[in-house]
Amino acid sequence: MVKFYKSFFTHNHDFNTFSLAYFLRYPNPYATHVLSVDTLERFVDEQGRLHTKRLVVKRGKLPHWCKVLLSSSKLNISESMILETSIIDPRNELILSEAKNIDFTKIMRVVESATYKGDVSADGSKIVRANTTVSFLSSFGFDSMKERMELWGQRKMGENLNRSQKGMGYVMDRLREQGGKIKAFQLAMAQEAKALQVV
Amino acid sequence: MGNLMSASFAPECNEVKTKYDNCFNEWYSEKFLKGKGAINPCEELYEDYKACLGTALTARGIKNMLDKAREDAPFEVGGRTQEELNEEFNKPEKK
Repeated sequence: MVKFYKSFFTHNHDFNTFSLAYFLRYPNPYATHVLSVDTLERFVDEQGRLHTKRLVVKRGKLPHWCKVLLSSSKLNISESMILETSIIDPRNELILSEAKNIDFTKIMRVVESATYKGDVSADGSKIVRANTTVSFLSSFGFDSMKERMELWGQRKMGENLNRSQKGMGYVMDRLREQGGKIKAFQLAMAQEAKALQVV
Repeated sequence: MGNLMSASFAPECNEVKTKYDNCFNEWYSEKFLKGKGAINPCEELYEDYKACLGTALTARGIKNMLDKAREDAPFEVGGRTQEELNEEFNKPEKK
């Protein structure tokens, strides 16, 4: 059985800042498990929307009992690869995004679909509404094992989403401080990373 | 300045990736998001980066896995299509 996780979240930043942060969000202090990000495909369609496919490599996290079960196999489960597809429509202030794992799909398929829509809040400030659905499908072992795996994924997702929202918030705050200037933003991020290493 | 951006999964592609990323970020923030970016000036840099990636993906045996993942139509998972996702935004806000 597929399990779902749904989340609604409001980002207190305008759509432009959000869209910038979407591609610049790695690395950030809330995503230290992200090892690399590569752009596999990118084009602008006739409607002026930007299509992107990125390969994200993360340090994987599997439940302890799962690792024990897999320890006899030759699988390297310390890293996991994610294919992230996005369509950015600046005219309609809309981002469609989908992220799914491309390895270990025999153990579990996780697909995160999200829409981000620019809006104006009741007090007149610009915001972005995020609407996320994550589905989990395990085909690992016997039925009770699949169930356990899917429930674990579903439970972990709350934590994961919370962390990625914080990461986006962090990147957007830094961008805003630097007036949306990317070079200044990158410099500030590097200085902070250095400061963190010292501590 | 290379380590300010996220790295490539293939270290040998880091240099071309950084060049492309810098070009893209500039175009994306200053042109595309401001509604004047139909033409992407980073194509040549992207070709270099993509060529490097292509070789690295094949060499590390990731390409087949990726191709398989890309066959599935995106935005049609979890039983929801793109349109259905959009519709949720047209609903009145939940309090």
